[in-house]
Amino acid sequence: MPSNDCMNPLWPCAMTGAASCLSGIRGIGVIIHGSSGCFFYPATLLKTPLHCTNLIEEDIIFGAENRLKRTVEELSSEFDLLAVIPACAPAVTGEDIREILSGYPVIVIDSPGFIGGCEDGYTAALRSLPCRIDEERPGVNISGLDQIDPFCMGNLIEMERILSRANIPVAARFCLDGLSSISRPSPLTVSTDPDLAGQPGREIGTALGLKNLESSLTGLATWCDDADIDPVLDEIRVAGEAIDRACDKYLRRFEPPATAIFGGFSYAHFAAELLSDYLDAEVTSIGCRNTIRSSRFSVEEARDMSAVARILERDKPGLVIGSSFEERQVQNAAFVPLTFPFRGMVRLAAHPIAGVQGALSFMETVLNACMDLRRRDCRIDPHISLQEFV
Amino acid sequence: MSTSRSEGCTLTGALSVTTGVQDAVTIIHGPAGCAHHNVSLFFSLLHEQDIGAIPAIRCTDLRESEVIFGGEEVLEALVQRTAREGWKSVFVLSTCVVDTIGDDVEAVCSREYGVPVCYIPTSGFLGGVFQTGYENALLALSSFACRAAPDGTITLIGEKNLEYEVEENFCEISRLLSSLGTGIGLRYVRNIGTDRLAELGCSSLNILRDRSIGNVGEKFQEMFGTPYIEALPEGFSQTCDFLEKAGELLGRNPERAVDAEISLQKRIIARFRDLADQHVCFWSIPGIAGGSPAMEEIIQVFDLTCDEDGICLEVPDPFPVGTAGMSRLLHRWRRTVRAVK
Repeated sequence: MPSNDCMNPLWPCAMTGAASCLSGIRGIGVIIHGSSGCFFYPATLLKTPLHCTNLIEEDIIFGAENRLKRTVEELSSEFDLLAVIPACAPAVTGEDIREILSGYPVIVIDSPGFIGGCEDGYTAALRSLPCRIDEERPGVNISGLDQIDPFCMGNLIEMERILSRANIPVAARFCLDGLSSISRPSPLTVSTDPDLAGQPGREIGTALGLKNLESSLTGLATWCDDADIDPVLDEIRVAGEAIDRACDKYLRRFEPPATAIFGGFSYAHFAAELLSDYLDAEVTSIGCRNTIRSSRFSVEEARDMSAVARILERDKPGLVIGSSFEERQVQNAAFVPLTFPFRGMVRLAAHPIAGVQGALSFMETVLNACMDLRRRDCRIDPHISLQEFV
Repeated sequence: MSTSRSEGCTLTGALSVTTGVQDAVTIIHGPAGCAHHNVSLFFSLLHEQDIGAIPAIRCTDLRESEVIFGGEEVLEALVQRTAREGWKSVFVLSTCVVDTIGDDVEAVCSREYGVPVCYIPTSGFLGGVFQTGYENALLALSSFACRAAPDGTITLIGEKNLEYEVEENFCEISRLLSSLGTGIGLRYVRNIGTDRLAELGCSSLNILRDRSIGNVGEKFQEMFGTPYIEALPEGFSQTCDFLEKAGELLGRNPERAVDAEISLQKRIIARFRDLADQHVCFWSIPGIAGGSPAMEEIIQVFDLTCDEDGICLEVPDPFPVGTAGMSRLLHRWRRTVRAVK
């Protein structure tokens, strides 16, 4: 017998991913073709204007064609382009939505919830966009910007800063930009989150982690004649030394934490590399929410709460990096937020995870969380740290 | 067939009831995304209520292949596996995609698994809206009840487990009933075990959360002969009426309790005397408590003048319960009035 099983799933569906991708593009109106129940989740999560055909049972029985057309007609004057995302039920009924909407300025995204997770929907949406590479457009595109991601705005600001320092213009921002910019990207892209691929052009590298950033900038410099990456390379070197010093100081007093990391593959892998390289921490496991790729670390699926609980129970990590779902499970460990959702904490500033500031900010949070835990433990029992060393 | 287009999903309504049974697991027969939407919502709202645990919401994680070839087998396998894990009961909810592909969920649930498996027809938006799921779940769980002679207990029916003030409302009703020398025996359905669902059948009085589940109260009266009070009280007068009605149905003299409550209400009104004679306008979500008897009463008690240009006071949804709820509301309004002045 087949064995589908998922206890408290922790990752949004493809439809939400598609909505997240498209709603960041000015000039595109996003229509969820489904019920209000399917609409409420992305609408509350993204906090950006979304539209919905608000289907009810009779629309599925008698056809939703007129309702969909009416919604498109009502919105078409407000936007340059409309994107229709059918939810599960309309996707199954087999209505030819492209045929129904032929003649309207509309793209249809085939990403009903059952096709996969939010990255699948994000990628499907990217591939449906009317993009044509503009070989003459100077600069580099930034990709991997997803409004679900708490680091989205911070990453954009950090990448714009870095590229500006390197005298490299920013072309299209996938996907926090105007439609006119998105539709004519430059041939080169640097990514803030390689899990979110699918934009046209050549991906030159990622800005996650100092080594990757250095490598990406070096690659870009060969393509961009006016680029001057030396100031940023200096910045990367200084940042690396600062992290090195802070970690060394930490290790003079404490053992490195055994760490379990939960999140999308790229962010989790970035965190694992930093912890391993700078803090000599043992990464007991990467609990991956999306597609697993090759890694020097132990990676396993953690898409639902039972998988998270199993990993935490087995590894008993001293440091847990992940979402509020993991935080809730953690008892005697330090916690660092990395993965959507962040609940129960105030976050007003735009924190990056990519770029120089992203690496610095991440390691700073890790070290402070670990030291806070040690101080808390010491208040409870001053001998705990000593016993651990013994 | 529901004609409302903006009232959310039946799944969420049903889950708001089934997750109140602590030793049960709820299986959503559908894509993982449907389950995640609800897990995320419950996680967030329960966090607001300072509740750490996330209720057990399991999912058949339907993918494209099951959508094409049918998902009954995966549902049966998951119910079997769940039944072996020691849960006291299993609730199964269907989704719109399952309804569209035509899985016979009821037939799968009617098989023998060794623990009670209760199918709650939801079908996502094809089954109605949030309220439909909430009502269907309240009715479906009554299949666990044993009909017996009334034993003097009071049952609170249909507490809204996602409501921010759910515990405060319970405390207020408990306070009011304690003044009659009694209290809530069963919270149907909040923080209880499967075995306690049986007690529904021997309740002497059911108190409904609000009028929207009048149908449920009627049904339980037909099934078990239990009289009911149709809603938790809103406003000062309704709170006293509630005491009188509960006293009457329980055969207890409410006179002293009502006198004590009126005295408390007078003290509260005196504390907010500075609200009197204000020019105000009330803002509420269309169709919500604005214009209700409780609002009319507040206008009269404080001699307020309703005026388009007056200070805008929000009428919360749901409206606060009992005298204690009124006190909290008046604090919020006074804060608004002071901020404007």
